Amino acid sequence: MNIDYSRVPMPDTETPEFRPFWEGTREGVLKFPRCMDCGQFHWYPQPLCPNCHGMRIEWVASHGKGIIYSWSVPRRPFFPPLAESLPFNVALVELDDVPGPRLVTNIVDCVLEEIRIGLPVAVVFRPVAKGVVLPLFRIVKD
Amino acid sequence: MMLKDRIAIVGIGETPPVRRSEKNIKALMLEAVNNALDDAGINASDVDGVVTESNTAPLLLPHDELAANLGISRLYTGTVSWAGTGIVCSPMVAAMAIATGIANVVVTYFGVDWGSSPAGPYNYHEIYAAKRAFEVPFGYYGQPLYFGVIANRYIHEYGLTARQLGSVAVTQRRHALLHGHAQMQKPLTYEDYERSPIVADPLRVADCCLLTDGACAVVMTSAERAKDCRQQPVYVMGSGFASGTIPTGSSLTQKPDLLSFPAVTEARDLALEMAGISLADVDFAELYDAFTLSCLMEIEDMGFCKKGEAGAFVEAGHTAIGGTIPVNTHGGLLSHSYLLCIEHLVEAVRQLRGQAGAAQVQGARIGLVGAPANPDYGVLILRK
Repeated sequence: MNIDYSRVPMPDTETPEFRPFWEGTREGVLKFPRCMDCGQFHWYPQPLCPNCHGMRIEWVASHGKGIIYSWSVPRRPFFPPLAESLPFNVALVELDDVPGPRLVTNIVDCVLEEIRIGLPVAVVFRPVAKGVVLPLFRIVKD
Repeated sequence: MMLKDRIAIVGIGETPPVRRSEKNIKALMLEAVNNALDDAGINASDVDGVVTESNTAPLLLPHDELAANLGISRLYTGTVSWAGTGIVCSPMVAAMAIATGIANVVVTYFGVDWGSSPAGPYNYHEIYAAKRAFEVPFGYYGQPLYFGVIANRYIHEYGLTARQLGSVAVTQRRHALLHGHAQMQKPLTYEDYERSPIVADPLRVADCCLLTDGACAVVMTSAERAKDCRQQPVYVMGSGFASGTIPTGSSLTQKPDLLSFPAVTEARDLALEMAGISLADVDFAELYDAFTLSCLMEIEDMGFCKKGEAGAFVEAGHTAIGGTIPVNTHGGLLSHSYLLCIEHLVEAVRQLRGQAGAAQVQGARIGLVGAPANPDYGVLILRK
């Protein structure tokens, strides 16, 4: 499965609300926003904690291990930038140490038929453009 | 002040649903409004209120342009929610305006030209910064893919066979053929369904709604004035709006329960309470069916069957015309047209007037229309 990331629109890594995430991936760390008052994580980043509307948010590192919550494989090019990369997979990953958020990602170094809900996965960081490192995941095989 | 039975729908209008129309979307919407006024036997000059959903209808045909085309001055102009929920809740807001005496005759309309427009319905997702940042770079883009992910989770948690999922498509295509003027006129068998190519695992083309150029409009007035109109009035018995707490840009990936639409039971209960009825009193339901899977989820969330059982429920024929609770008697978004549920509203009125022809639900007295616009949900209950 080979997505040609050079063709996709890159994220704006400088938007202040999102910047800590992309600073993290550049350093090889997955970070998520957590409320300093009630301790709850949330995703995607927003100014107030959705649990207690607190305004004090910190970014906390995850160990980057989790499971596949769900997945799919597009078979038609309704996303033109990746028309030539079909078929590829998308997955929702839940990190073991970050309850709540689900990360949208791609599973790499696998064949599509291997992907199943519940498989353990670990993050791999992929530089795709200047200043942009994407968090992808590989299946953990014991 | 009770809103129950304060207003009636007195006119419905539509353009024939097609994949590509020669007419532009403004012309289609205005044609639908004119048809609705003719149907009601009401002069354009009597219209003094306009209510629509907020996101698409007024961008394609702003309220002031509608008014200019009708030559009217408005006493009320409003929008409510967006997309399907806004459409389903427009009668609620019309009832508020009419019951308070602010307006007397209120029009609502909706239409799209997504059949002709190449980006179709996809590009609204690009406006959310979080999706651009955290979804698009991974190729997570397009409603079929979002619902493919949800479908795989549904199958994991509850089980669902291809035949069960396909039952929604097959049943609704039968309804479209009974309707007679739906966009899809060819039969769909289970074999056709299984041959339909996969769009995003496990969803097939036949699991996805149509693309349509078309428009519908509805005219509403007080119950008193409705008696003077051309058609048998259809009364707004109950209406409910509720919403989840996760924003639309995050909802489809982040909501804890991916397999339910937010706020359905709350909106349903508010509508039933206003109507003074229970769910068992509903004779048919027109539900938002952008995908076969969405329809299954809503059948469950609405309480017509238990969570995880809608596939078997539909496969057993309970949602067919003549079954326990007919669903999408015109074929729905899957087979009638993709106008985000304004056609569901029109169909409900037709059923309650007894004008549904071969697709008529016998003895239909009360109908329910429901539609999401994540994280919002709207329920409308109509009676003859």
